[in-house]
Amino acid sequence: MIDLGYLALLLALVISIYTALAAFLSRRFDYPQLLASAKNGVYSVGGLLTIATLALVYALVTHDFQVEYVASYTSLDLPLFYAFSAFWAGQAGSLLLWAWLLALFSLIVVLQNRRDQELLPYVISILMGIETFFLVLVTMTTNPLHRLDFLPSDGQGMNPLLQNPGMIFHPPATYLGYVGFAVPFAFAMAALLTGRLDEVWIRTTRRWTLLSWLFLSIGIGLGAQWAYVELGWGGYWAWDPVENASLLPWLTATAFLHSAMIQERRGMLKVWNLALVALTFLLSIFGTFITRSGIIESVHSFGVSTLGPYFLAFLGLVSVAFLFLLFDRLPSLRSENTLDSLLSRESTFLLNNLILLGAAFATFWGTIFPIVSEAVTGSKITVGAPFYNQVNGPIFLTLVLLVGICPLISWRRASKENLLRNFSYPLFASLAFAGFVLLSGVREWYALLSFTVCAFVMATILSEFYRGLRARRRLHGDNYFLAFINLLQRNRRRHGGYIVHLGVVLLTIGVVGSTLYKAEREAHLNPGERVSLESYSLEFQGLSQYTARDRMVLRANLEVYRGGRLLATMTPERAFYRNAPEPTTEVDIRTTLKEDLYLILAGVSEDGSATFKVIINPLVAWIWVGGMVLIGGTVIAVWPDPREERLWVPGFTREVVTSEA
Amino acid sequence: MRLRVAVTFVLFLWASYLLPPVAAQGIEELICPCGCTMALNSCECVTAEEMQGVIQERLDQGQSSPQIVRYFVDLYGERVLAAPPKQGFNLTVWVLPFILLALGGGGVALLLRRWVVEAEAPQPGPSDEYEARVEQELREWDS
Repeated sequence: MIDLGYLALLLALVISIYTALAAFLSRRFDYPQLLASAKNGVYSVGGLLTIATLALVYALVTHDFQVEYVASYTSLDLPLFYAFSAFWAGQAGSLLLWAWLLALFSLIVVLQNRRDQELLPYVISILMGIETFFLVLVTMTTNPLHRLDFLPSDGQGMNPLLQNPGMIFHPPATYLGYVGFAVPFAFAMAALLTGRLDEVWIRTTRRWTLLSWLFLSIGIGLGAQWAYVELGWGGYWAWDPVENASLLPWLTATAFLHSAMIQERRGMLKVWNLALVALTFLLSIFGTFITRSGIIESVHSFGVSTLGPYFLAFLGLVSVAFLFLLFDRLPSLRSENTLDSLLSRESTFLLNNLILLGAAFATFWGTIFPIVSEAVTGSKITVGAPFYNQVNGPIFLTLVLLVGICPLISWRRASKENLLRNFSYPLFASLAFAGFVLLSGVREWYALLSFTVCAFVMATILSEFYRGLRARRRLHGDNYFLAFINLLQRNRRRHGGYIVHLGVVLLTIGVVGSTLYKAEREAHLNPGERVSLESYSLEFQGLSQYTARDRMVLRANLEVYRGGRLLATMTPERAFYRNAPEPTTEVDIRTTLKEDLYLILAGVSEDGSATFKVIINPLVAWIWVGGMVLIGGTVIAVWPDPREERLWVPGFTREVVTSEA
Repeated sequence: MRLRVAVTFVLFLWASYLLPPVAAQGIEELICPCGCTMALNSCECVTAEEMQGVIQERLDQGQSSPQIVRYFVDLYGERVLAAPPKQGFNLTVWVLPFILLALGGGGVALLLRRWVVEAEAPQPGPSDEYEARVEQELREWDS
């Protein structure tokens, strides 16, 4: 099975090289048979990599320790689903996952666009070119199916930190996002190569971009959740280089999703959109590079490897190729850039793009600055949370404000009456809210400002929905529920988008609350002693001990009181894994919509006393709620809309274009 | 007009940036130098524990937190700070994003202005006949 898998990998490499060339030549020299052959090549690569993937999965779940990868990341006592998730616990497996997903995506792209003769050949060529790069890495440098010369009796087991449900889904979701951005990039390159620079490539890939964005969002969210419950430091986002690396393509893709609308509606910003798609793809490769090269100190240093130079070379090559094509096509990219008014949705979208790119730059700059600074001054520095809070904080807050303002300004030209009508109610509502917050004792100007902005945005979105509902009720006599469903169906993209915005606001509330009002206290307690933090009082009952399959666990029992009333019993733990040198903490969290009580067992002494860290994280639950709302909104926006499908049948647009030409 | 809006907006960003940071200053700005890049009180390694001990000792001796921070900077270098001080070359990291945003804002403002002017200039638009057809088709589509 392993040999079969390796053979499949090698064959896939050869075929992907062939397919990239064949597809390219078929378009260049107008040779349709070669295109048919290239399509078969894509199918074969998909099939072969599925075989290789299954081979590794089989080795993992059957504990075939002769395979080095299996021996390094699993052990006999590892439960089946963690053995399965070991697929992406290490570098070699992650790269195979990348390659396999890309092969599957390519296959779907070919099936979706099989009648297309224009863009598809180059799309195939680009996708298989990227595939070749990953297969070279997988086969030449980090082969996941490499065999050992001996058969170990047991494996080294999985890093205990990775043994968490979040870790099963976080990496694949992130990868689905990263890899997915290759598709719009391939279409953009194909558009440049063919000179078909109208909005066809944007329409064809809209759903791909949105889905990749969705998966990347889910990946980032799950990563945050994992950090919160598993890493045990009381936070969900540390501005760690690897986290930043996943945020970067997310930011540029968000910018693209918005500016693409302008090209769809007005045929403007062609160069800008091409650049954003290329940037997003390059940044997702950069993300993999940062994670895998160990070039910057990070808590994610799961594997320092020698892959850095390969990635750097690939990044360079792709950038040069893209820039060359872009400059070559510049004359035909000149669009009729005209605006009816300064005060229009179009111009607010430009502002939104500017801010998103600003946030992306600040994040990028902060991430790589330690290298820059060391090269210039020779001394090592750290760029951590205080930098990002101070620099990105205001930038993101402005962005949230724009989320509220943009949809209120109409396309083309916003009139004064229109503005006054749309703004007055939300403005009034948010000022009233600000007064309420002020009265309830919030004095920090930063918190006041942030919450007021959130209230404003929330009010604009809700009033937008309310207006739609009222109109539907008046016109069709629907009840509110029916009207809401119909409203969503009438324009999925718009209302899905509003729901995503609502999710962003909820998320912001959670982030602001937990960043500004986090309370923390450390205490060393003997059994029977108490520690208090804000309104909570915790009484330490004592330690107990139990053994699980691969670890010995110390558990502390605490009773949580508030106002003299017993609220809950909490049991933070400290686990001593057989294969880990240091103990890991298993925190206990009591979640309410108002705040999380986060309890860490920081240390234990021989005499039965223990050290605890008690943290109160206000409003954290809203981050997860907001994340789910965001996901729901994206699903609504991405759901196929029969009205839209009829409008943009691929064959239809092509006919129009060819008849014009 | 747009230019003024852009400038005001950038000034707003600047202002929020110049105000003191949200995070408390002092010992909280120290990170663990073991390579985990986590805040000192979040890391559980031996180095972090020792550092906590030294901090407590020095606090008991009556040293101020800037003094203690200085001691650790002399010992480990600036990388023991969670973010670089705003001076010398390291000022670049703090300032550049805002400079670029300001330049970008100015660029966008100029661009928008030009586009609106172009729109106001008379242009050879599509023929009336064509426009009428589009209108007609749109009406049919809507019904």
